[in-house]
Amino acid sequence: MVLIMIIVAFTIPFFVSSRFILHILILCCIWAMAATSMNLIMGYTGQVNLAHGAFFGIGAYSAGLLILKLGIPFWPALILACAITVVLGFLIGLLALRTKGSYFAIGTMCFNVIVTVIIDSWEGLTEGARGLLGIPRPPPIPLPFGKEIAFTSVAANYYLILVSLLLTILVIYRIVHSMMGRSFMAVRGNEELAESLGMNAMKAKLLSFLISTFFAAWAGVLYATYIGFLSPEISDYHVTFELLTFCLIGGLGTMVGPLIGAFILTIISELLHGIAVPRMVAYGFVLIIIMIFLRGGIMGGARMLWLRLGGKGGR
Amino acid sequence: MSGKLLEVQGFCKDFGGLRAIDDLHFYIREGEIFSIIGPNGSGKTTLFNVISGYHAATKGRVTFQSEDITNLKPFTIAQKGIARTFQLTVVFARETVLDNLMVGHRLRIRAGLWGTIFGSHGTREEEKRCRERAEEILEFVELVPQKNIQAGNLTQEAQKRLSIGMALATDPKLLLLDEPTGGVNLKEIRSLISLIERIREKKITICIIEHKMKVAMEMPDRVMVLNYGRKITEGLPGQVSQDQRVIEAYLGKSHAA
Amino acid sequence: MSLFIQQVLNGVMLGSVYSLVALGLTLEYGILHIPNFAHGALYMVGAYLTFLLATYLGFNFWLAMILSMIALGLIGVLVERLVFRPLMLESPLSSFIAAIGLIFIFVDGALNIFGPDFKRFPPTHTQVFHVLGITITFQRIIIVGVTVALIVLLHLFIKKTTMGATIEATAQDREGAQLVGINVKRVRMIVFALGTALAAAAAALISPIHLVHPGMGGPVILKAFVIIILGGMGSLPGAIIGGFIMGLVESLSGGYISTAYNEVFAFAVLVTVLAVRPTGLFGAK
Repeated sequence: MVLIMIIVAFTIPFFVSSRFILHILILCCIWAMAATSMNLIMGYTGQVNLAHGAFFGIGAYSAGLLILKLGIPFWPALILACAITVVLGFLIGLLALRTKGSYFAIGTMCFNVIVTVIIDSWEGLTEGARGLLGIPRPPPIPLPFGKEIAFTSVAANYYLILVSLLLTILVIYRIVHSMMGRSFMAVRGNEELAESLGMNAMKAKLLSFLISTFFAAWAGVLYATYIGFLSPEISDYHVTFELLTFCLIGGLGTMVGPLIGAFILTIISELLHGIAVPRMVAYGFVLIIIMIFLRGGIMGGARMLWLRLGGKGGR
Repeated sequence: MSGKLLEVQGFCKDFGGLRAIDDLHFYIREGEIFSIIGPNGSGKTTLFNVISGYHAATKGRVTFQSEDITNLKPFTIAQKGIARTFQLTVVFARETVLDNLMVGHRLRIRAGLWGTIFGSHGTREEEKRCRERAEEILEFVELVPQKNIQAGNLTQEAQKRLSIGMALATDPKLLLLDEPTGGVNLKEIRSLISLIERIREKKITICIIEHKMKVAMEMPDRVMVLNYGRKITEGLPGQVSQDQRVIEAYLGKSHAA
Repeated sequence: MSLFIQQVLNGVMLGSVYSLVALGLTLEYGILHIPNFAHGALYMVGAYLTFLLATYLGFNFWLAMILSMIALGLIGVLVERLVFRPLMLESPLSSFIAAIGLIFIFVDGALNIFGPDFKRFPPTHTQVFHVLGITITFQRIIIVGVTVALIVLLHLFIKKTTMGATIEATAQDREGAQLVGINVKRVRMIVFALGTALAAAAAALISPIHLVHPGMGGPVILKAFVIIILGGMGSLPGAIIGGFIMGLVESLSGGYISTAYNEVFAFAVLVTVLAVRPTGLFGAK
């Protein structure tokens, strides 16, 4: 099933020539990467991390600045940007993870705001509200026999981003279905109990936090080099809330949930871009309804339906 | 004569202005079943909480296998070989029984990041070990039919057995059981007692907090009695149950289970 | 020197507004344990209501403010009943997210209905006083005065009325209160309505000076959380004192350092405190 979907995903550019559709799919993939990584710390480790958008932004800006101001080529810049973000994430995480529950949520949200304000105000470094312009696409990858993969076409970018998304999903999937993943979920279930069983909760939370930060940064770098233009809004807490919405609507704590949420909502919002539909207002209602009636999001609802129809599952 | 596994010396614990435990000395011998009894509020659970690292000792020392473990973090103490259950039974409600037991063994493996991501042989072996251990314990605590049920859906008594199983999954040398027979009926008490005996056969030292005198006297090799945070006596069950001070401490309370 | 006094007075004015908002939030979060992140959005709604009543219906400022407070009280009752009551027994995360949903609805609703521009109140209370080389507008004095009055009223309500005692009892022990026959649901409703009404008052007071726009609740709510975490959840005095301190810090740092970073400063303080004492300044374990 999964294999079929991957094959379909790879062959899409062959029978879809519309740049617009590919563009939307690219955005979907970028947001799906960010949402999937957020799901690791929020859904599987149970920590309400509201600084995620900030790390997306830091990754994006780091890459943009490294490429534009220091002339560093794309691939090293990608690695460096992720590294910088993870280091910052480590410092922030070390501080923030000392708090729990709602305090952690508020604390990380404050960090998110701080980061956005800094990006906005430190004009010498980031060009502030004017934004960073002209971030180039990745340079061509040379192949044997004198050929190369050039990133001038939308399709080429699509593949790069699709591969990144699949790698993200693969890594997070492996983590979630491992003993490490089990300890994350133990911390989510009951931190005190997990500690009594010998698990270092702080270390687990920090590790989960850092992994999710890494992939958020990567998604940010892809965003920066694809769109080519950055402004402080991309690290704003609105971005964090949108990613949260994607995860919730799709189903927090499932692998597929963030993907569904990201794809559906990004497509909807891009299609309705021209129309003056208050999309955030709709998001708001949907969020509340989901919280009250359908806690597990679409995946949760699907699972309940599956069980109701007599499928196997818990007894 | 087996050596001292756990020793508590000069131990005091204050909560704000209240001295919950005062100048406590005792030790637990390797391989024995040691029980701590006393009326409500005598400081039994507080003692467990400090031994297992949840509260800091105000004064005094806790030594385990000749190593000072006073004020270490709970997970470190678990790693050193002391496991516990809680008075209010807790399990991971969302996970299955088997998952609960598997994660109990997690502390004995590395589960490194790279091994996990790249699926290295070592990591796969580790997971297999956890699963095998979990299956063993599943049989031991007699929860095999409930293997794939969500832990939250178990009966109270089954949850107790599960939480004991999880503590066992950490491969402890010392097991602290906090009121294992709380809220269970007579028949279930029998089966819990037999479980505890079987744990002793595995050469695991056990320390039980008990409220019900009858249970607390049947199993253990030695008993210690606390009242208002102080030790009023300790010794063989037979002696302790005749001790006048102990009877006085329980005056007004029925001593039937 | 006069700059300093000017900033201090400004700080006191800001502090009054923050106190009222923080009081409302501590009632909702500290006493009812509802992490009502949408408190700032409701504050904004209060501002718009007052603005509409004063501008389009030509109501007197005071009347507009009082009506807005009542209206927000009613909206608060609705929100509590429809959104937060069903989530009462779930983890706080659910309420937190539902509150975010409310924010989307109110803020983006306002954005769509009124547009992003700043709305200006018709000029009221613009008399200016010159005292000791400092300029004070009458509006600023009103803000502080009304705040003090409201705080006193709230205090009297809680300490001197039966309902106030009921609220205190419920705050201390919900189950115990139920056993004694207190209608906890009604108490929840009233406390929440009080909270939102206070937010409306704060908004009405500050709007003639700071103007009205859809995003006005954002910075305010984050600061309000900082205040109540630092001052102690559920502590009314903590909210008041914390509010004034926040106002003074913001005003002085804004005047002497830079306004861009003054939000950062407040959050940095919060983050530092939480790092040292993860349960807040007066939090218990």
